[in-house]
Amino acid sequence: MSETQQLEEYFSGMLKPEDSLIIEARLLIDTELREKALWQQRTYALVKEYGRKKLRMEIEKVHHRVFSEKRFHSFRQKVKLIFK
Amino acid sequence: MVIEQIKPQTQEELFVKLYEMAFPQVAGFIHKMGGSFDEAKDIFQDGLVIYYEKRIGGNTLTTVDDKAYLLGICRHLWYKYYHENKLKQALEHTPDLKLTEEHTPKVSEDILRFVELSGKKCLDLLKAFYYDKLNMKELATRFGFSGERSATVQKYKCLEKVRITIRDKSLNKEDFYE
Repeated sequence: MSETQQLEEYFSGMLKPEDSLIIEARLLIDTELREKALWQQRTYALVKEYGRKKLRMEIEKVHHRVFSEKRFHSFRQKVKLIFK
Repeated sequence: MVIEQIKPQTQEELFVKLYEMAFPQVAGFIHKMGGSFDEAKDIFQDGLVIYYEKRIGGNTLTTVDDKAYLLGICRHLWYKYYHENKLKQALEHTPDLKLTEEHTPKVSEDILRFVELSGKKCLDLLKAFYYDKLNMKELATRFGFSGERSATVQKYKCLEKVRITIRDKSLNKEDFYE
């Protein structure tokens, strides 16, 4: 198993307790591994940001559709009545 | 209790359905509480993001229970927004509406844009797995790998690639955060 995979399984609590202990001990003494772990967590954060960015774009597209396409006319009327 | 099930063809259709089913009610609630259409839109869209992250993860299935769940999220977001907004007004700050339940530090827009340009394919693959929660079989089909094993190998390769890219790009570590 690669270090990357080991770290991922450690973060997600998938490692056996004895393997977790080994990683924890290594993280204490191995600066390189510690740094790798840090950047890996930042990578997960970046992927989440990217996911949200894309999702927001998709949702905005849907918003535009329901507020412009003909088939959503009655939906728009309903919303219009609320804010009139 | 599941009263009715709707199986939209695509994720986009799912969001369309959710808009039709829940937006008027959210808008009605926010209007009643003194909010505007734009505020209703922001709250609803943030609500959809939270709903997606907690409930969907790539699976396109929704029920009437999900509508109640989404309405609950939006109501909660409104109260949160309303209180934060009042507090900010007292401090003379411009109101801002963003998801605030983040525990991880926010990645800077610059780094994200850079990775989008330099390694979009990897980013899309990682997003499909970690954000949209596709399994290895689905990942292999979507990205054209021969099987689950090959998809797993590629996923870790991409993770390593992006990790190295953002580390190198963030030599000035303070730039990493907004």
